[in-house]
Amino acid sequence: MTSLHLVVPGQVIASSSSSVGTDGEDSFLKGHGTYLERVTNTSTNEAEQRLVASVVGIVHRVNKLITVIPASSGVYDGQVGDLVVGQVTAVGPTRWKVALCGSGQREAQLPLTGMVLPGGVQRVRTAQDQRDMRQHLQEGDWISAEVHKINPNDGSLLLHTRSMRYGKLSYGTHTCVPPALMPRRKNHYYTDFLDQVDVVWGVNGQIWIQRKLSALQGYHNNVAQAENDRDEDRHERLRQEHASTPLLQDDRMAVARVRNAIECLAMVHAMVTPEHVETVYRQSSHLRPADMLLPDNVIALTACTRQ
Amino acid sequence: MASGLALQLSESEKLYLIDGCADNCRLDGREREDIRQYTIVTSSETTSADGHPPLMLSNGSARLILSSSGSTSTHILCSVKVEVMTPSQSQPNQGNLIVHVEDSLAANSSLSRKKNEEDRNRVQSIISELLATNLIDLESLCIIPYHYAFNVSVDVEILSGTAGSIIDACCHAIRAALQNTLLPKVVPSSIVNDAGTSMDPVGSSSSDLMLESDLSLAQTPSGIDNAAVVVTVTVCHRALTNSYLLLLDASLEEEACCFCQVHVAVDAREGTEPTICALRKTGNGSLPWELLPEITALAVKAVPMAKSSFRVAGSSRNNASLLQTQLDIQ
Repeated sequence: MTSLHLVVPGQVIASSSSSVGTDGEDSFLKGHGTYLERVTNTSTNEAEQRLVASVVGIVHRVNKLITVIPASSGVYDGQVGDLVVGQVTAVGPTRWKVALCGSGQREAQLPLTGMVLPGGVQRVRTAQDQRDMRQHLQEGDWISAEVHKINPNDGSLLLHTRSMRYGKLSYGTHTCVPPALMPRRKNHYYTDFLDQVDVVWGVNGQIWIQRKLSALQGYHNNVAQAENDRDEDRHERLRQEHASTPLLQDDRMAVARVRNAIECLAMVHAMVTPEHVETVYRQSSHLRPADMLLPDNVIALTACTRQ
Repeated sequence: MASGLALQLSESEKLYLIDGCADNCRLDGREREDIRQYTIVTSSETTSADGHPPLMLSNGSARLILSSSGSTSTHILCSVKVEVMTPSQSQPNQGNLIVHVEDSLAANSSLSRKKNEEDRNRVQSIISELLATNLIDLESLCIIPYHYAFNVSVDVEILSGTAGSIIDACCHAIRAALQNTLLPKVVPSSIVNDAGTSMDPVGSSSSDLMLESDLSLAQTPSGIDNAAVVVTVTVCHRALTNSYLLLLDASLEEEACCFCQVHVAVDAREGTEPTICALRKTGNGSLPWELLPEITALAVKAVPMAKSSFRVAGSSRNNASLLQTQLDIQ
């Protein structure tokens, strides 16, 4: 996808002409958000096939397949395997309720069994665990999780954090962009992004930025420690160290700069991909982070995404 | 806090935010005393396609947009309406100015559970208390003492408050709207009509007023250039060092984890020492008394910055054309 082409319903995206009577091979395949229309051009007596958009959105072209990604900004449709970043809104008897998209949407659920507990991964959850739920996650905490299942009845999402990569997020900052601007990639957890920060790109539009974990002391120390240290425990220790160590000012500026780069892209409604963020970040090195959000600068910095 | 929109931040996020303020690097990289730039659209600057000013039934209007990210913005609309009324008996030489703030967002917000009258009128009471008497010279609004005076009613509509700093934004919007208000020149018609008979302009039968339709004779309310400016100082408490941090122009996240806020109305005219017209504290924290001089000094220092950190929409059309549609008329 080289350029973003915004279309409205009824707008012709592509057309191919074929002579009347033959069903000529399509030069494009139609995807979601489009429909084919056959129009006869009376002057030349040729049948024309037109690909017309049926939703408001951005044209996305992969080889011959043309789809229109709808530009509905608030709705996030979950798919199994998505990495999402959400905020805990309620602590229930056996599960947490996690808000993925602000306050407007349905909330996803994170059951107690979906969470890794210290001391053993496969332990049966006891009544004491239920009472201790609040020690792990409270209302207002941010977590990164993966979508485990989609409830077929009402479409609500079931999450899980059964991996070292997911869990509670702390000592960082989050930003929200419309879910339509988030690309679906294979990897959503970027460590050492731009060699400065760790970024978690939630597919639901929430992005979490924190300092890079490899800058912590514990990261390198643990390599030399005994091997019977389980990976989960090491990660847990690393996380706690990260939550309690204050940041240097340079690191903070880097986090602020990445955050502003994402905001700039969201302001001009460009896709918030790591590559775009990196470009904006590098181009903004001559500005103070706070000045990046002035309208003139936003346009100048995001010019690369519009060529 | 003043708007009724309450964000929920995790404890860890609050810690990060406050540590950032202590390091002089806030969430968006600003320093503690940095103010964001806002955009003002006024009735004299913009005209729509057919050449009419945006709000035709008002005497002056302004729109303020403060946008701190792609999804958050504080959007204020202010309209000034002028009518003629009888002045009160106790102050026969003065007109009247009423400020009314409509905060429909807080009233209908699903985020805040308590939607009682107090929350809804919070912004209204703060602004009218701080500003209403300090905006323009009320005596200039008088037409005929004891009989006619202008009643200026300023209506502010808060369209969106998600970028925080609502009170400051309302104050700037009111100021811009009043600077663009035109008071019509009003002449008692008896003076014009009866040239030969004895003049009794305040008699009941000849108390008609005539409106001069020549717009060039209309004036802006006097005193608006010296009007008070409200600066909100947000106080954050850092538990680690038990210290207090002062911020200017707080975003919604900073307001959600602040200790308290102090709104200061400063009168800073040219040539005289700045004076504080009004001061109000909101929020649940108890402010230590020793902080007060520091807070007021910061507010006074911020007034020239606040008065100048805006851009008028339409002036830089060449490079801001893309964002024009977002920041201006939609």
